[in-house]
Amino acid sequence: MLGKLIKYDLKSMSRAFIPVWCLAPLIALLLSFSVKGTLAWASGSPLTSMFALGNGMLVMVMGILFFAALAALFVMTIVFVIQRFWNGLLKEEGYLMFTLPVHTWELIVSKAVTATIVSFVSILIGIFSGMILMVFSTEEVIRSWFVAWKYLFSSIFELGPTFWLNVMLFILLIILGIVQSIYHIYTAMAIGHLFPTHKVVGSCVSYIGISIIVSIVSNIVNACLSTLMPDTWYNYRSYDLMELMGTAYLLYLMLGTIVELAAYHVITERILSTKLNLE
Amino acid sequence: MSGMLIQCQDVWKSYGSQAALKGLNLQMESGKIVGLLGPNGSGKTTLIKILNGLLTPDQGVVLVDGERPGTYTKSIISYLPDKPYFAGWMKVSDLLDFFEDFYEDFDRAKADHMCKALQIDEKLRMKTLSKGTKEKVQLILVMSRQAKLYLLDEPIAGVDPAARDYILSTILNNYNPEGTVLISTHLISDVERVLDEVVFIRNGQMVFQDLVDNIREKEGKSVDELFREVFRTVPYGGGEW
Repeated sequence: MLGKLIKYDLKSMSRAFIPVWCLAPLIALLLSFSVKGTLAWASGSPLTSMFALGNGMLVMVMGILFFAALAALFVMTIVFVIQRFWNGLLKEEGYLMFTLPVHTWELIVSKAVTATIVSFVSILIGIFSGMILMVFSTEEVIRSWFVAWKYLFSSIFELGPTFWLNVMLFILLIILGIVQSIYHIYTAMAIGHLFPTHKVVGSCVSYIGISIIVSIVSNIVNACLSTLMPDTWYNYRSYDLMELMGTAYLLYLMLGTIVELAAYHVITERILSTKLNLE
Repeated sequence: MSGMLIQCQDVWKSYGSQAALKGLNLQMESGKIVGLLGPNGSGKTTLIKILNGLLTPDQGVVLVDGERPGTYTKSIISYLPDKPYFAGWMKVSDLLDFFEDFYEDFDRAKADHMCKALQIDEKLRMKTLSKGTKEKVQLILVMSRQAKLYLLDEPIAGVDPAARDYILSTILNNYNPEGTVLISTHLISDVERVLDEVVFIRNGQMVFQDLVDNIREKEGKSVDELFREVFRTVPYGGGEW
């Protein structure tokens, strides 16, 4: 049933996001060409410099459009995360979803999986658009990119397995961080739903309240752990040991994220299972 | 208590300081069309939402086919809410696919046939349909299931008399005869002819439950007349109308 729920959520998401996901790189490409054109005109005679001025206007417009598209991508992603949970489960659409013969956790996980995919792809599209903008703007950038990639590939084989483990852990941590941020919003909305009136205000207050609690708890845990850790570790100059320290730190961060994530999931699931009130 | 499709024992539910159900007790058997009758604000919708798990009671026991509201009870309940619950982007065909995906007892061929009979284009998006057509689609979805319990919340409120006849005949012609249909309404005279049993609910409590035939034989009254008698209020300034 979870797969069917995710299929349905992805379908509702694709309609809104695919156009923006296509639009942002497209605008980046057009902007990069107009930048390139302006630079080419400007480097010529005084007459062509006049054209460069006109082209500069185009660059300005394209630039505004590009940042508008990125802003739209960012805002849409956040609105999507909130709206699909709020409208999809806690408003009228919830009548349909909560009368399906599925478990409450499946409804929550389905929303979280879709929201994570949307957020992750939006971030990738944002980075990809920025890369397009840089790469196609000037030949120098392309050249320097080639140099950088060549260097990276030549040094890849010199790097040990710990480095690649850390890279993998870092990517995993980013994905977990996205899921955790999404669940933070879900838990706040679930708690806000318990308020008899002013549920939106309740959700906002809950979001801030959760942030404060998490911050206090993590500070206490960090303070306790730092007293246990020997300070001498920081004096080591060995690259291998630094890498291992990095691995340990990434694993520690992941553990903290997973614990926080699990707490959010349990709280949200319990509230929607035992305190659901679709008035 | 065993063998009952619906069992409610001392069920309480409040919205803030306002109590909607006040210790409601109710038992209902299978294979009947039951009218859940009461004036506006008597607790009908609250009871239906508790039965299908959209609301959690503050106190009391609610069992449907012997189980508390959960995955099993949701698989045997077909619910028609008092307002549309669809995402506007969905096409009629998306909704039919959706119900086919999630409900094993959903008869797709029957739903397609009903759409065709009512000239509803399955390719149209829900947001482009009129209010009446949306309600028809909702009714098609609900009545295309072979459910054990149909919970129909105000299915004929806000529609013209001809549409009421159509809705009632759709319910009568398509429900699972082994299941129970619970119709909540305050439009008694329209539904009276289809009911086997009635439950009167007032101020969050069940005040009367009997078979329609018994009411006619014992009381010598129609359900509509009995309802008016039970729920009579003296108008401001006194006197009768």
